[in-house]
Amino acid sequence: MPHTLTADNTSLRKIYHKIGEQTRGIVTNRHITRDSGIKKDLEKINSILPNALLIRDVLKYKLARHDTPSVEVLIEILLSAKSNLYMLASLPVDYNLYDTYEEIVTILKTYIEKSFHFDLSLDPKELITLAKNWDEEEAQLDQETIKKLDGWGPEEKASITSEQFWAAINEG
Amino acid sequence: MKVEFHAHFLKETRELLLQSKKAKNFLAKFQKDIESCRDLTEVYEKGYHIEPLTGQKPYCKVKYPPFRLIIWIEKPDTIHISEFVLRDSQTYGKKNRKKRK
Repeated sequence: MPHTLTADNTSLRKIYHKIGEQTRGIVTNRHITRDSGIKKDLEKINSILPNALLIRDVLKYKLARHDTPSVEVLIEILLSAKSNLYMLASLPVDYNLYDTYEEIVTILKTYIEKSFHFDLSLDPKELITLAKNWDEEEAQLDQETIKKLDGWGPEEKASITSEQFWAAINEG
Repeated sequence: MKVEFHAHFLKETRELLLQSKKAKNFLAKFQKDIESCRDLTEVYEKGYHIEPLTGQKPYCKVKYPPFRLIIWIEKPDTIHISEFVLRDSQTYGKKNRKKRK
């Protein structure tokens, strides 16, 4: 299903809720355990559960703080969601967990490409390095901003109205 | 809410806004969005992340990649824009594509 996204955290909240619903579903869905034929599949699903729960907890923590996850965290979530998707594709169980991961991958890919313009065809190690570089640069920009603001006097802090601002910009 | 600009901001941002239509459109949209909000909760609901800038209260950072804004919330009904940056995210992909060849 195509997603029309703006680069906001609505998509991240959506992912968090989806993972929450699905992981709760697995834990409580007892009919799976009654069928011994799919025990191996269940083991596989269980093996990815900690991963899904980790993603859920990270997003829960970040969103509770009204904080955006770092780009490195977003890339890690995308990579693990992608690997879960491949694994689930090989399972014969009819379970909508696959749809959830497909949705997570689509949403995150759109979000990351649109916001950071990363080339998502790069290998995972390179992507993590890119994300780390982005986060480091963000921290550096923060430091530069703080230094600049410390040096500001009343003249720099004086305000102009938005009308004055745009008039000055449009005059060139 | 009301939007004002720090005087210094005009000098720092003019070049970026004249060169990048994308940046200019975003800043205009940001202003319009803020003006349509009654309070900061509504701003957050519109998808703008506002985080305090460490040790610089009442300065805050708005994360909306690839844009980055520094705002000053002097009164609950007014936001002053202090800094606006369009991060050159294109270079990340380009650098890496070169490396792979």
